[in-house]
Amino acid sequence: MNAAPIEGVRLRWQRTLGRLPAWLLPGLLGIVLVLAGNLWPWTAADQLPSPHWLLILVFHWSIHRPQALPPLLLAALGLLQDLWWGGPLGSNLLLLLIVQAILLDERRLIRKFSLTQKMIVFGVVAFFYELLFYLLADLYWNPGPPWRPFLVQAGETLLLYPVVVLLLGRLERALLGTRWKARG
Amino acid sequence: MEGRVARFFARRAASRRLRRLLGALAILSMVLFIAGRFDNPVTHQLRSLALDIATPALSLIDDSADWLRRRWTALRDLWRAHEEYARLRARIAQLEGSLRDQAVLEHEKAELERLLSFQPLRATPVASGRLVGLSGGPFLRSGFISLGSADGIAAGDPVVASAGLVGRVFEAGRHAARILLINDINSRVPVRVGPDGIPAITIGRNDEFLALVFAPPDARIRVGDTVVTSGADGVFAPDIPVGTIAQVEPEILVRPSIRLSRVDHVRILKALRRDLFLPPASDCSDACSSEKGQ
Repeated sequence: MNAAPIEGVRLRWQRTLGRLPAWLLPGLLGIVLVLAGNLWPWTAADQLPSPHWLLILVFHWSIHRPQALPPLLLAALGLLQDLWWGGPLGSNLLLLLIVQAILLDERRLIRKFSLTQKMIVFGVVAFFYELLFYLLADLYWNPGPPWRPFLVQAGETLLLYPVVVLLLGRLERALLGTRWKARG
Repeated sequence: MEGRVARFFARRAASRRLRRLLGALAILSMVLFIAGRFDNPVTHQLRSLALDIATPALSLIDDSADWLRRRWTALRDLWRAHEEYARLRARIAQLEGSLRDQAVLEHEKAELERLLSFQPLRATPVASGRLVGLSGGPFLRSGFISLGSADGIAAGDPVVASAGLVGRVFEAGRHAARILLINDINSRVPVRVGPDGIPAITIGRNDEFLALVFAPPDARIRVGDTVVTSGADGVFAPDIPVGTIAQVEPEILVRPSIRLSRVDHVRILKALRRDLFLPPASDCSDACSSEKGQ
């Protein structure tokens, strides 16, 4: 009996299983970060909004690993964020897609930046994101909510950007090794 | 050369496909935005479904955090047990005195109510549960509980903690619900202030205070006055503690009696008039059937 076809199937299965973390990680991590938006430490919860964790993920991966975050996955995560935050439906979905579309065009340039330069770019992105977010909320509720929490959220997100990026890098390396990085 | 040209066209085609997909998703987001704006039953169902999915996960994480919190509290209490024992004995003696006074007052009140044939408005508890998460969005102050329409909860039901009013149920899924907290800007609660029972309304400000509005201009409101629900809206039962007056100038501010960071267990009361909050017809499942059954 020829063992070659069985060996081939086994190899294909091994390869598929090896790729599983790369397929699952972006979606799972995205869902965890969206959930984290609802688990902001309770001591701060009655005063401060949570940072926009998902925006950090989208910024980081659109520049470094665009294949990890296809538009359909991003749309699903944006929609989840809208549903769980209880805000205007479709607003995060739309804004995250706009951010990704812009960053995909500029990623080759931003990739070469140092961390400080990337933080400055991220700060600009976060500020305009929150501004548009506020305008959409204003359009939705008319009159909209106070603008200050949006500004606070942009500030918090910017401050936490380097920490989250560092953790993301470690997680990617630990779970996926260098192979995934090479593809990015 | 041919290979390079083929790659160039393949990349352009992929880019065109990507742009088309992004465009389609952008249109979808706008459709959702407009549908949500006009209070569509489909978006209600979508939100309820999302609640049902998210809340068990939040509950699981919160349970783990709670386990750690309890272990830490147990250790700390053990450390302070002796002085805590002495403090509690003194407190018990003080409370026993208050309890005797309260029993006399309760008896007098019941007697007077009987004489006046007074029918008090009392809140009916529906269920108790845990607040498993607080929404971190910048626009809505809301929380999640792991109880839903299957437990008899309906939109509009008041939510209280031991210290006072937490908010009201805003969306009820089958096994989870979202609470609109009293400090959300969309929250309005009719209240009575101080010993004179001055009528007013509290409005959330998305921070730790509530604004007190529509009080009579000549009302004498002082810092420290207690604020309780009036029951005038037909939703909240009267006399649920809301907070105390924290500031009277330039605007009157109320400090809520609950600190959200310390709220753990909550009780859901039945809204005095649930019909004010009935969801759109197609979304009307358990809540409506339980209403009709009564």
